[in-house]
Amino acid sequence: MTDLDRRRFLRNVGLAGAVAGAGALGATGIGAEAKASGGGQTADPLLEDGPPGNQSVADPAASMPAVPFHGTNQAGITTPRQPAGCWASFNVAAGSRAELADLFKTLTTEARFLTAGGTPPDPDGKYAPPTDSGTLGEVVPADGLTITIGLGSTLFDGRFGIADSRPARLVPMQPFPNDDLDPTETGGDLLLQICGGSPDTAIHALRQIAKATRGGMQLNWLYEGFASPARPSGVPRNHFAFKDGIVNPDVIDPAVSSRLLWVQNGGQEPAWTAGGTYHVVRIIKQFIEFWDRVSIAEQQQMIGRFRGSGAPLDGHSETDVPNYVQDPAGYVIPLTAHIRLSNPRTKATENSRIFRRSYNYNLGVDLNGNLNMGLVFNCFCQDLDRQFVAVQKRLIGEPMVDYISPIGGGYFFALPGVRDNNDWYASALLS
Amino acid sequence: MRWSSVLGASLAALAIGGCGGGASSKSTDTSTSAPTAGASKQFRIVPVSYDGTACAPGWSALNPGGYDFVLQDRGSDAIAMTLLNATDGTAVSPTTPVTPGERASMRAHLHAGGSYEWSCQAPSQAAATSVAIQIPGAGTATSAYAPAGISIVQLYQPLADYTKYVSATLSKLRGQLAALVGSLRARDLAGARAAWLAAHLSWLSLGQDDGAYGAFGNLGNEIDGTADGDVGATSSRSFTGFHRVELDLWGRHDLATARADAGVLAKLVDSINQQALSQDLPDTTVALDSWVLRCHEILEDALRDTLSGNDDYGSHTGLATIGADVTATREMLHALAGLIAPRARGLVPTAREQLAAIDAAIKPSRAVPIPALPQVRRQRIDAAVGAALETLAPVSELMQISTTNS
Repeated sequence: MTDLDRRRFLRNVGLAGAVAGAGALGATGIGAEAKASGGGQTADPLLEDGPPGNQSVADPAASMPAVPFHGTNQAGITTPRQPAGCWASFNVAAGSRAELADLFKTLTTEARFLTAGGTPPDPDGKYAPPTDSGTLGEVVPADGLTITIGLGSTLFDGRFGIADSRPARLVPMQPFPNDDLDPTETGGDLLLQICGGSPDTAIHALRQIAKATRGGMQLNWLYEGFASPARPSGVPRNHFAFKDGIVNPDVIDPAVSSRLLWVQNGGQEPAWTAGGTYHVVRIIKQFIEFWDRVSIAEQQQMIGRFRGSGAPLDGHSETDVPNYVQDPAGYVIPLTAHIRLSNPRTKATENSRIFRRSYNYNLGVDLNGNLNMGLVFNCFCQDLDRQFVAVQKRLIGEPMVDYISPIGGGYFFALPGVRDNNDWYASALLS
Repeated sequence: MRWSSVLGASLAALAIGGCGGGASSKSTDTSTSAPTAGASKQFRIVPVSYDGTACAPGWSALNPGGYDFVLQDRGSDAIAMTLLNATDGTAVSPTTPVTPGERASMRAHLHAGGSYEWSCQAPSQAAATSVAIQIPGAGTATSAYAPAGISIVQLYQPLADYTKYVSATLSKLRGQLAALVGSLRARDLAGARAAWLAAHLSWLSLGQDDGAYGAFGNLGNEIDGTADGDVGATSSRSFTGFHRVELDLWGRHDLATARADAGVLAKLVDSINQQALSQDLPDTTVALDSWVLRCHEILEDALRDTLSGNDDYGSHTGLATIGADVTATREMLHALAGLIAPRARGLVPTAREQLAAIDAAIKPSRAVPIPALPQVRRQRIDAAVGAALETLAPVSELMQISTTNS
């Protein structure tokens, strides 16, 4: 038996036995052979292998724990922000209401498996190409994966007989005066927000789902994002170097989430929407070269916070609450500062508060040689008009608009949760 | 040679804004020293307060060196504190806001031989000023480290000169728009296109572009805004002005519509008050602040909107647009040169060279969509514009008006 033959043999044995150990075993084997075949000859350093290229995190223990898939609400909304995510807009190609229901059932099956993790069926593809791409290894880790599905208003056109069930506020996203929306990167019948412990986890899930639903839906646009680590502490920074997402309503508290986040029974929304929420995605390009040519004083006046600490301009630390009552003329925190316009902290504006969950993106180089970078702004709210639209209208013309350009995204309705093993996405809408 | 090195040498001493971002507390850094020299020095902490009437009581003798001043407001109103050169009353620190009961920190260097005092400005009151202290040693407070603040009065003459230029350009523009309407009346497409371009370049050489930083308010956007942000895009009624006519002439080939749209454009330009820039001069610190911003923001717009191809509605005249933006920037630089030069040695000549480099890079400025240019050519233009922008970026800070000195 030659070395080569033995290696094949070992690998097969490894696969039949302990799946997870196979890779490591194989690698050790190769190294041993290389040394052995060197024999008594003078080693040629050009033929030697360096140490295994395992600098990246390979420890499966580094994966995040599974996030429960079943529940009244979908995961990925109040779930603490995972490090990586992707946002994929699809148009539905299904031809009937029954086919649409099949699509959601398939999506449910895929999401249920991917978020739990495990060994995919037929990993070797004995009789067909493998069912799993294998990019996460032979056993799929859960790695904190969440898959959050939202419906666009276009799904409620005449195709599926559900026009009467459209969520009351769901419309196509119209441009605000400072927007530059690209129709090819705006809207869609369906939005998948896929977040997880690392970018490969998220993109693996997208790849599996796209494979399983190829005939039922097709991609429109895709953005990948990351949440930076704390630098050096607290809330992560965005590309403008300011901590982003410091202030959010406490949606873990049901008294808050029932007023600001989840659609409730009753009211003007169709019954099936209870437990869902409006999901706003805004792809906001940031002109970081321009931003970097602005003094820190001006940057801070635009945002209303200190760049270093994240504290409001009248405070010491990022968790300090700005005191606008004491500064009615905007002497310390200008009246046009981003934090002040978006959240004036008055009785009249408290029910317009939104729950934000944004990520940074990098997308190579722009046509004019600038870095193409920005924010995948995400927010969730019970009432699109009362909350997000109201906030965004207050921000029209704010000084920061010269440094950003919202170029895409859309309004979606994040479905209520999949309750249990017998339930499926959008069952209440389509049953 | 043209890029940052020239500027680096001459501006190092200015280091506007410093490295900013205090570690954990509210702080403003005006440790106006070169990063290499200042980074490792120890800063001594000195408390300075406002007690509701007196500014910096107890302000007394200090040695030369770097200080972290901890500012505290013991009064009942939010105030703004500024460290001044006592010999001429100019600011040597940015104005720092402090709220009652709170602290803020501000970093500054006190120079041997200098004389310093504090100003505490409460809303709608005369500023309170501390005693002046004399720093031992030979020298003066107006060192090479800190640019002296600009008084509003110093901007009057540059603005008056600039206004003259604007008035002259506006009357030229009105003539060009009349020619545009005339060509359209005669159904002369080639003539109309030429007149449109001439008029558009005149408009751009005012440094207006879409008017974002202009003195013409929303008129600027109506005259030269894109359809971005308009519901209904190019078919929106609020999409008016040069780019709408451009679309008529190049995209739609619709002379009748062009004539109507050009008429609207001419009316919009006619409605500009020639005195808009100067009519409310005496108390418009804010307006003047935004005026000086144009020194770099005209080219920021060129980079963002024109070099990206975003504002091309079919005429493919982006290269000529950049040329007009350079003209407008040069005019701004000319107006402010006398104030910039003593505060940032080398900036004005460097910027002038770099503006000339842009002119060279855009030639020949034939009609071509910028995204269709060969990459090498496009990159040469991006590099020239980018370099000029990096040089011009400090101007708005240098020209900051010191409110305590007007």
